[in-house]
Amino acid sequence: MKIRWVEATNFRKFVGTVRVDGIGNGISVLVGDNEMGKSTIMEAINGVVFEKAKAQTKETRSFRHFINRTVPEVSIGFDLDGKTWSLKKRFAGPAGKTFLQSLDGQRYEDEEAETELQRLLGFTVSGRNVEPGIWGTLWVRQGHSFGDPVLDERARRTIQCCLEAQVGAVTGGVRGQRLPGAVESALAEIVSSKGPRGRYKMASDQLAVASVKLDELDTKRNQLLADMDRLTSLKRELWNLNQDWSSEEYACRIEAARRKRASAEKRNEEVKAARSDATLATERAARAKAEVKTRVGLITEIEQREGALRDLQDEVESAEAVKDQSSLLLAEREGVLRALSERERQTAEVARSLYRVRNIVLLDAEIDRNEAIVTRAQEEQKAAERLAEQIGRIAATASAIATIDAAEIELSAATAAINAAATIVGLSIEKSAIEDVTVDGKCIDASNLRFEVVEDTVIAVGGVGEILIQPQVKDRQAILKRVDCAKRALKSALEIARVDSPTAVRTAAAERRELEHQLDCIRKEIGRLAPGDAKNRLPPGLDALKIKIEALRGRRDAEMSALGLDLLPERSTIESDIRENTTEAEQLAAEIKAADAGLDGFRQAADGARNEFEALRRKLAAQQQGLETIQAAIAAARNQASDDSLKVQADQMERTAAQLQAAVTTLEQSRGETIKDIDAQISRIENAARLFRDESTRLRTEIARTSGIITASEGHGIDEALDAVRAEQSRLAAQVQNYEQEVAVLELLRDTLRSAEIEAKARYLAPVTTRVEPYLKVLLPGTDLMLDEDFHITGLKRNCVEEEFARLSAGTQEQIAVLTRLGFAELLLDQRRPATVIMDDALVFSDDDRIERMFDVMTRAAERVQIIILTCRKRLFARLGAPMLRIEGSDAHDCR
Amino acid sequence: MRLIHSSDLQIGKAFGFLEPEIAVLLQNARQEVVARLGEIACEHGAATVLLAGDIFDKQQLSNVTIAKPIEIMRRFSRVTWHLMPGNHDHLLENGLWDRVARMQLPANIKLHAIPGAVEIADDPPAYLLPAPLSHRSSVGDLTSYMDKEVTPDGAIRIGMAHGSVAGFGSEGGVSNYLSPTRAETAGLAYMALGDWHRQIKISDRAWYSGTPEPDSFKLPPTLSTTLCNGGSALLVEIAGPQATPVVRTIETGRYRWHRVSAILTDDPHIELLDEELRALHQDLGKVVLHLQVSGTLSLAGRKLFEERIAEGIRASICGMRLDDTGLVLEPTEADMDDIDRLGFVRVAADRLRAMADNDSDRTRAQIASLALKRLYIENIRQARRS
Repeated sequence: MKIRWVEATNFRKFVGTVRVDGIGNGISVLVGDNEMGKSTIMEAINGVVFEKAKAQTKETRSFRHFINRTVPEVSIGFDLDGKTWSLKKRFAGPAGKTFLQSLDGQRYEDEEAETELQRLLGFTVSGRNVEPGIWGTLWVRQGHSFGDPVLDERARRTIQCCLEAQVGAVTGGVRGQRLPGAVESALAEIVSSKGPRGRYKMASDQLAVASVKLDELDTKRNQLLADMDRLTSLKRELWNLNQDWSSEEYACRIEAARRKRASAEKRNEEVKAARSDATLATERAARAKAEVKTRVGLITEIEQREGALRDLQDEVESAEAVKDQSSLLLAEREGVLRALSERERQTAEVARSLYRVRNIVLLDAEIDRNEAIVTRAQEEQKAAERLAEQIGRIAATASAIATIDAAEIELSAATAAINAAATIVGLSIEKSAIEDVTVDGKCIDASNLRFEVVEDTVIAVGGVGEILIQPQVKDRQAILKRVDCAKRALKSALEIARVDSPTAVRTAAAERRELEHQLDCIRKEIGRLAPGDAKNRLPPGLDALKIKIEALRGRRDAEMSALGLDLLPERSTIESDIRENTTEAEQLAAEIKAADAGLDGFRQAADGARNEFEALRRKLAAQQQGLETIQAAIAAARNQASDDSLKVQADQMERTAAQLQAAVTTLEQSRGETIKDIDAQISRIENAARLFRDESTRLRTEIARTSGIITASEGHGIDEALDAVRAEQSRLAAQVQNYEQEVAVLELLRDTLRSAEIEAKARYLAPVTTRVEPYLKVLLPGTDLMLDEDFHITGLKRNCVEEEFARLSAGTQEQIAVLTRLGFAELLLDQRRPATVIMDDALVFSDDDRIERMFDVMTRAAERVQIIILTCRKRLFARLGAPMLRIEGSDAHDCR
Repeated sequence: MRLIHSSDLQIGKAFGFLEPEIAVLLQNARQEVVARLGEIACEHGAATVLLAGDIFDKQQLSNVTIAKPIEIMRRFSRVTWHLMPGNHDHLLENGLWDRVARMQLPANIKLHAIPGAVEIADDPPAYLLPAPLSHRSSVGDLTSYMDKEVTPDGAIRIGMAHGSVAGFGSEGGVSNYLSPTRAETAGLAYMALGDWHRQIKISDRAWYSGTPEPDSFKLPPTLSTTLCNGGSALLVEIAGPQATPVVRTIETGRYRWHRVSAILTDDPHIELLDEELRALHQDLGKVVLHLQVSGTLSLAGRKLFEERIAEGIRASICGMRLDDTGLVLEPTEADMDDIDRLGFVRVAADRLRAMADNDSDRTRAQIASLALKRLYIENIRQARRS
């Protein structure tokens, strides 16, 4: 379909008839200022195509002029499938008229025309609802060009129809579209990313609970069976216990044991009394025997002690003789040692004198060395004084040189100033007349006939007259005064420096620096000769050194006086004497050491002999006292009983004790079982009875308790409950297995559907994307368009990165939407369906670069698609190079 | 004298292989069959009911489960119930029968926990010789004592035992062996046997009564029927000590247990199976069914099977255990076209069918087959929505 012209009469703002004509095959741009009626033309096109002439809808009523309410008429001419058609509608409600006719004579009116129009252009009107189909997408009203180009159901069907005609039916239809969702929903009902959910989870949870319950019941059942076994065992144990026990037998056995114990106690008392008597007699006999033995011992001891005392007295005497002999030897050796010590003392005295003399000799040598230093330093000091005097005579100091330099600079500057202002006088005089010419009365130099004057100057020419030159120098007096001052300053500075020229002052200054350098060297040498000595508290300088020499000299004289020396010996002599003295002292020391060592042996021998003697003497005294004590004791005992009577008494007692002990043995041998044994028997019998009672009680208690537990448990019917839970567990396990299978089935179905759908969708949308792709490459190189199966733009893929459509800029969204419309239009044309793109006020958000690219794209698309652009931006769209249309008509410029 | 012979009531059985609500119905039926036994005893003038073991299913039952049949027996005061432990409810010290004994049993309930002749009637004089099980499995023949057990001359001797008679099929195995000729060797007028849930005549004087209420999907070994064992008791009439007893079968069971196997290879087979199952009993509410199907079905056939059998029949009968693991899906081109002729859904369906046909991974093939079925059903569901 290609629209050729549009005409509107009394339509909305238009008064009278306006017309847009000359719409071409490719791009046509309808230009007009704001409020000129471009959008009204767009509405007129929409109205004449989609609204029925007889309709009384709000939309058709809005077509009337909004002031004079006259009946609107709209006509449109278009070419379609090789035919030229004209369509005219008069929107007059029930009286409305529709005319559709082709150039080849086909003519339709009213409803027939409306139906034919719908057939031709492929849209439907159902009651009051118009489904513009693809036209709603391709004819973009003002403000709708950006954003996703929304397709209504019919438009979608149109595009789908085109696509399926090209790629075959791949989408699976409405049912097919719902299937993956239905599978997903079914899957989501029973499983999530976290695992089972809904019925599946409930069954899994119940299965877990049933398993736990089953375990608990199993445990309970096992416990119950164990309790039942235990009860049987307990009862059997109690029966056996009662079978093995007789109360009468126990009573007899315990009575007999107690009787036996009473008679055993009686016998024990008898044995105890006999044993006590025998023990007493035995003790007495033992004491008597001991007394006899003691007395015999004392007598023997006295005899032994008397013999030993005699031997000891002999030893004391012998020890005393040894002690005296060793004392004499010791005294002799001590005399020898004392003589050696005296000689050693004398030798030491001589050594001390010799060392004092050597010290004086060393002191004297030091005095000589210091005096030599002083002499040399004094000579250096005199040289320094001479140099200082020479330096003092040279007045060319650094400050004097600086003053002279400054004066020279000032003089140069003043001279330059006067020269700059001077008048140059040049003379040309014959050689023969040169002598006749004078300047200020002075003859002139023939070689220099060009000079400068700054003051009045008279040039006299002999025989001719005088020429007065008066140079006009500004501030001449001041400049001359400056020159004069500079000269005076230079002269004064030279006088102070005692030189007659600046060159001389520099020479003198160099000489002065050399002398100062020499003086500095001498001072350093003096400092080196008398550097001071911090260790001996000697400050630097010659004076301190002299003081030190005097002190040393005083010490030397005092020492010589103390030693009575008038002359000092040679150092070598005194050193020889010292060596001899040292040798002698060492020999004496060795001798003393040897003598002293020998003396220690004599001292120890003497001390040992003395100690031995004293010890023996003390021992003798002690033994004498001991003997006397024993002798006194035995004398006292014999006064009580003689030795013989004591022995007779002891023998008698021993016999009595033996008789009593024999009686005890006889009694013990006839005693029988001991009380301890009998007590053990009684205890065992009683323990057995107690054990029986305890065990019996325990068993009865246990039986009662176990019976109670069994009775309490059996009422619940554990086997029955177990069966029920097992059945429940089995049922739930089957359910869970079914759900697992269902999940596997649904997942496989979902995945298979999904992969097939993705492949199909890619194939399905390819015709659209391949048509948009070349344009997109121009606009956004390296970018792919992403559509969903409903032809919504979902986004772009740039460098394999997906970008959501809604996140793109408004300008980019609009541009891509326009490209997509062009793609749809091309697809329709390929399927020989009508397609014209009309855009009212489009591309408002595009930047300069992008709009140029969009113009390129539209120009390329316009080779096949008719594109009508309505815009107020004449200058911008002039760059599109497309024919410019205008709204023509009597009231076109005064439509309001 | 007349008596009712029954056994293997196994009260307290759980039926875990069926849905809980159905299991409850079946459990109640086992309790209530006691009343049915009492009723037929009264109806046929039998003053004695012999329950030859396995009255209870297990040892540790709840007080209520134990007390309920006792209370029902108490109601029939003119009937004397003779109870004997079997292998499921064998004697155990401090066990089930101790609890029963502690329940203040009424005079019309006699518990026979020890072997030995017990007078059960005086006109004519009749003695019962029970062989109770004191263990779940006994090595020796507990009825052997009967040969030497003395009873007064002229008295009717009736044996009661629980176990397996050698030489009669494999049912019950050979534990708790019983001599098949015991009735003759011990001079018994009648031997009431328990343990086998199928009613069997061993000899003129020895019968297994079978369980009075069916409880498993075991079929009689030789008969061509879908009706499983159990569901009746025996009315025994004994004219004298040497007379051959007259034994009649009396139906007692509330539910009919059927086991049906079917091979489905075509969709019309489903219709036939539906009809066959609906003809099992006039009151389908009393049918408990184990249905085993195998063969191949298309997706449409499978859907029909789900609707008619898996859901329809299940809803019309008491309970159903369905084993369809042998039923293989073989989608037809029409099935595949029903899913879609074109488009990605059809592509997915083709891929699933290829996976289902791939035998190298059976698990994945099965999942793929189920996924294809799900896709088929889901597709139809979506079609209905739209």
